[in-house]
Amino acid sequence: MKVLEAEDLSVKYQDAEVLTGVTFSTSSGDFLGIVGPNGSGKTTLVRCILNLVPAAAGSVRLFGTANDRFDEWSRIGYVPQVSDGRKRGFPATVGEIVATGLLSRKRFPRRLTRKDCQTVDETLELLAIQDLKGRMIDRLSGGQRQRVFLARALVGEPELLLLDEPTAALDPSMRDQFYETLIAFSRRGGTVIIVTHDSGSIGRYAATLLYLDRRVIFFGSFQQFCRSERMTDYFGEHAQHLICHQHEGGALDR
Amino acid sequence: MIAEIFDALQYAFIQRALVAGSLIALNCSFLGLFLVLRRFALIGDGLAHVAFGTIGLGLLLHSHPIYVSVPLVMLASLWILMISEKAKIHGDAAIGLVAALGVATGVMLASVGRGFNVDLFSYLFGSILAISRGEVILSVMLSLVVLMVIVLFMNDLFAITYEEEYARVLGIKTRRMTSMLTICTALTVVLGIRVVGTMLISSLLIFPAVTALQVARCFRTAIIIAAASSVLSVVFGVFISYLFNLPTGATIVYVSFLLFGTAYLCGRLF
Repeated sequence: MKVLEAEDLSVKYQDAEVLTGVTFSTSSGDFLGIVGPNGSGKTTLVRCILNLVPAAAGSVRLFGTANDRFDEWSRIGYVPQVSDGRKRGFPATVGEIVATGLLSRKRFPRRLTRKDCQTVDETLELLAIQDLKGRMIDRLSGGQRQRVFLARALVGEPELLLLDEPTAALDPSMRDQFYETLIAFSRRGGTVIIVTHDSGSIGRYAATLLYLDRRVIFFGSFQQFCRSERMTDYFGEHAQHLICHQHEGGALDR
Repeated sequence: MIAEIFDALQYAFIQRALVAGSLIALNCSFLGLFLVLRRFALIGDGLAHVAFGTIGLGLLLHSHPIYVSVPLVMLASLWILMISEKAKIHGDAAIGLVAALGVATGVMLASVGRGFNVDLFSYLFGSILAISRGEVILSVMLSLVVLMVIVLFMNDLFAITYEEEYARVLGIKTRRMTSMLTICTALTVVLGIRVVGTMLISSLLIFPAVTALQVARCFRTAIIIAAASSVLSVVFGVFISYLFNLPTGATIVYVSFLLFGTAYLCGRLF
């Protein structure tokens, strides 16, 4: 089943075109890494998918429905890019923040029940951050906060997980743990779309690559990327095979 | 002194002041917490300035100023939102712009309708002890409506306040919620003018929230502390002003400041 279809998508900020003619799609169980240099439009693409910024042209379909008419938000879990500073001193605990992830499943007046509290506990346990539940969100380190935001995205049991630079504040061991959670989610049939500028390591975890630089440079599997002569011309052989991660522990096997 | 307080409680005007003042303060504390956390706290001040103009209009038309102010200040609140979105003017500038127009209107009307200047200026600093029975009934009814709206949408407002964009991905109609919050603020500001006056109304919105933020470690506690400190400010403010013959609005503000100072010290010590 197609989870996300973007077709000929263009986004403009004022007169400047930030994304041009982006076309790609993902199906259930896909693990897609969106990679590109700074300013390549990765975050804009995610925000456009979620209808947070309007498309200048083209279309996005979420679970078969145009994103501007889409209303089954409980099917989507979102981890936005960390934006610190604005929320200094916000009086909320980790438990309260994670519980907001359940609101998409609720109808008016969106009351949280005892069972919802249990769901929050289970999700925190799954991510091994149960001990943070009563801590103030403001007092956490960047890495802890990212895991809390992942818990918030997972608590509603979504089918599609969209993550924007979620590993930026994580150390290598925490990053591996973070990706293991995503891989487990994907194995259970969930779809993962992750934005990262870390083109060197995403190939270790993701199955499909979308390389973006205001337009789609490459979209396909990492094996296809590895064997693409067009990509060799674009990146050079060394960079291409650093990204593709098809040659772990040995020489290039082309 | 306790006997004097019990004596004071026998007076209908004190009872009215306590009932209306406490309910309005409760609304202000809930709304203020969301507004302060969203860096939109000065909208209360801006709307109070607008109310200065609309009260002038009410007096000129020989109508009750509150009845004229409620719809007009609500419209002004939506106008602030609209110009800050559409005209690419930041929220604080939009508030300043609309507030200046409100005060200018009040001054202009005061000049045109000579004779009601004394009435108009009595609204600047509030007159809670002179609140009428009709005003109490109106205040109680409208306050209960605002309270109900806040309680019903508490989780939505919390989500929007923490992260508006994320709240949109939860399917929350953020723009509609912001408009609702602003309209509720407008309504509360107009009602609060009788309590502390247009010059001091923003204190009812800001003090309880910043007091709570000094000590609260979770949102539920923040709400409770803000609510308690706002009601205490009004109750103590009314009694102290009665006992020492002080202006009630200013006394409420001083009590609020005292509670803020205590919370600040507690926050640093514990």
